Amino acid sequence: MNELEKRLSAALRTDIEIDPTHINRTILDVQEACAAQPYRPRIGFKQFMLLQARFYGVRMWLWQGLVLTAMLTGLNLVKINITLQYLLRMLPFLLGCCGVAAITATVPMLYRSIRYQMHETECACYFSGVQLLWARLLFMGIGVLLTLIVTVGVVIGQCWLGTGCAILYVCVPCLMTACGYLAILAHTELERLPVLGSVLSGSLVLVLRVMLHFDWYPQQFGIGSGLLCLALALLCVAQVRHLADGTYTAVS
Amino acid sequence: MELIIEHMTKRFQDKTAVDDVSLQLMPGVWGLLGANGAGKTTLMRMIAGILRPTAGEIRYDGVEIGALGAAWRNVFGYLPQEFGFYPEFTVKNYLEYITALKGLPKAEGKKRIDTLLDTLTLGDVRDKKIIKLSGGMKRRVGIAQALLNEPEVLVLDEPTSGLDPGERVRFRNLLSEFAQDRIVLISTHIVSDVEYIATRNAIMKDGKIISSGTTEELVREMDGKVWTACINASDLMRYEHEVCVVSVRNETDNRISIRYLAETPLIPLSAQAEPRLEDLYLWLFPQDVHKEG
Amino acid sequence: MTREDQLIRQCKAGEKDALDELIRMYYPDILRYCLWHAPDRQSAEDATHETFLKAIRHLDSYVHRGYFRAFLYRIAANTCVDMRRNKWSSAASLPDDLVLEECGYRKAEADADFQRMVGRLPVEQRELVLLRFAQQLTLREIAEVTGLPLRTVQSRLRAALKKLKSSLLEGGWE
Repeated sequence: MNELEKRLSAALRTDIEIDPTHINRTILDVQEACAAQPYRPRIGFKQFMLLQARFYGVRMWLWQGLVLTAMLTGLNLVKINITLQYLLRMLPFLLGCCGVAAITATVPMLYRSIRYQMHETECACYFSGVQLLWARLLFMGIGVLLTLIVTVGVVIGQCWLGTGCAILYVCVPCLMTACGYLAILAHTELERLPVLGSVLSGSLVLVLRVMLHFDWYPQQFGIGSGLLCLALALLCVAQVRHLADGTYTAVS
Repeated sequence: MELIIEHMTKRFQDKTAVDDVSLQLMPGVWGLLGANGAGKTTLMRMIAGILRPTAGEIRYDGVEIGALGAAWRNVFGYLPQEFGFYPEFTVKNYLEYITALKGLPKAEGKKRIDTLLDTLTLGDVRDKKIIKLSGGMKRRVGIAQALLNEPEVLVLDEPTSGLDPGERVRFRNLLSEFAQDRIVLISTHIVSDVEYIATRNAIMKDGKIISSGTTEELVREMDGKVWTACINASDLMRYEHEVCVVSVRNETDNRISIRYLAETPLIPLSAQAEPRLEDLYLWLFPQDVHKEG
Repeated sequence: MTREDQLIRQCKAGEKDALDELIRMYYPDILRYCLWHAPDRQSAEDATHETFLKAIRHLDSYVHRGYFRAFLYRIAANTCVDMRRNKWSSAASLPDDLVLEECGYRKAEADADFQRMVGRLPVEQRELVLLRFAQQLTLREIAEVTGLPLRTVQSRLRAALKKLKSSLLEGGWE
């Protein structure tokens, strides 16, 4: 502190004589108020998550199971109707679409709150709208991970591609889509998710198609690909954390 | 216990929905009256913490509700104007779902659900799908979810919409009992919902509070402005264009008794009538004359 | 873990003695703050009493990150605003001839002059000066109490000190 500040402090910081009656009265009243406060026990976040698994998780996973079945059926149909050589050429694009679809398909489930006008009621509860969204994203993430594992497993099992390439062609588009959707959730209202999400997913599929046309797909999972996956994963984490400051709890 | 709403403003791109609203709410029932579009729902969403204000602050017992966070939502119950249910939910499922969202432990939640189903006479439909219930029953289920956590502050946005007269009376009685030592804020454009139970009312128009006070204080503003007169049935249409007719009752001999609002008596042989809160509302919102009741 | 950390933990667990000690720890500072904002001693004591009652009500919601003092001052500030609106008759938060004379203290002439100069600052600057120099809060704590960004607190304090300095020079002070 400089000289002026020291003098200010000395002038303003007066000694106060405390009347013991008043301080004792305050202490007594506060203790009484404390004792009279109703006890409101609340469950923790872990227990909340387990309960949400019953109401939401199971439904989400069933839905994702359906989506996975549709994806694998689609792949099978393509395999039946084209030559192996053409299939192998198309595979990076098809797997990319599977990665994008794995995330895009969760939108109807995330949007249910808006569709059935539950969003406002949910956001005003003890566990905030953001905590509910985190729970839902976790369930969704588990389902997406299983979807990717099964898809990659099928591709490797059929000996269509090596492990590295299969992971690369599925995961990178999936992570890009996830980043985009999380950014939408973190920065705009939930009502806008279907439209903006559709535009994002459509654009990514278009990019994948263009890459197929010009044969731009890398032929192996190198260090660069690994770093890209890591960067996208970290970006996803950053968006999830940003959700707490975002507009998710806002109604328009 | 007090909820202080200070200089709350919400501006959207094309309009100012809430314009510098300040209120101080103490325990009791508070009526927030206003026509559709007055800004009541926007204000209530800001109190619920689900809509960020452009300016202003809401404090509960000295602490801003944003700073309280979950602690505020813990003592707060909210029934939105428009609310729905997931289609797979029965009444019991729905209340269990909300119980989980409100963080209630299982045993306590079950007890609260049973009590509320009983109080709101929903016991017979507990295992019925909500989408199959009548509008009035759905509204009661919505009220039940707002009361699950025994809130200290209860905010209800148009809670009696869709309820029949008997249900509205039961609802008023329930609220009166509930509001002992609690703050209850009800927004409505049905004046009779709050006229008999509200300690104080605030009237909102174009985003601003234009009048507030006890029911008696507000009603006194209409002293000397409420009249009754007996006219011929054939004259009704003419008078409806000339004065603000509040109510019409058929009498014998093709005569009609009307109740109207005016600064001075405009119909011959008019008699002054005892004003009601509804009269003040219709004086301020004349466009609602044909919608009221 | 500081003594304050321990006490808050014990208070949340419902220990009466911890509550007693916590109140005694902060009572003088909060009373001093309320004295700056209330019309008289009695009102200041009422505001202090109300502050602690409200603080205990919300103690569960307070997540201890070392800002308990700011938490208390925030409640005290809001309590004084509310009481000024409802109960206290005088409109101004600090009268022009502010000195803690109601408390029966005799201040040196120089100190009284300082207080008068502070009293003449614009309200938003005055509040920051009081929090910083009378109540000895850190800049971060002041930002928490007032809800202002840290940079705004810094710039307003700088402006206030500049104004005080020029008042001092005008008054012939060194």
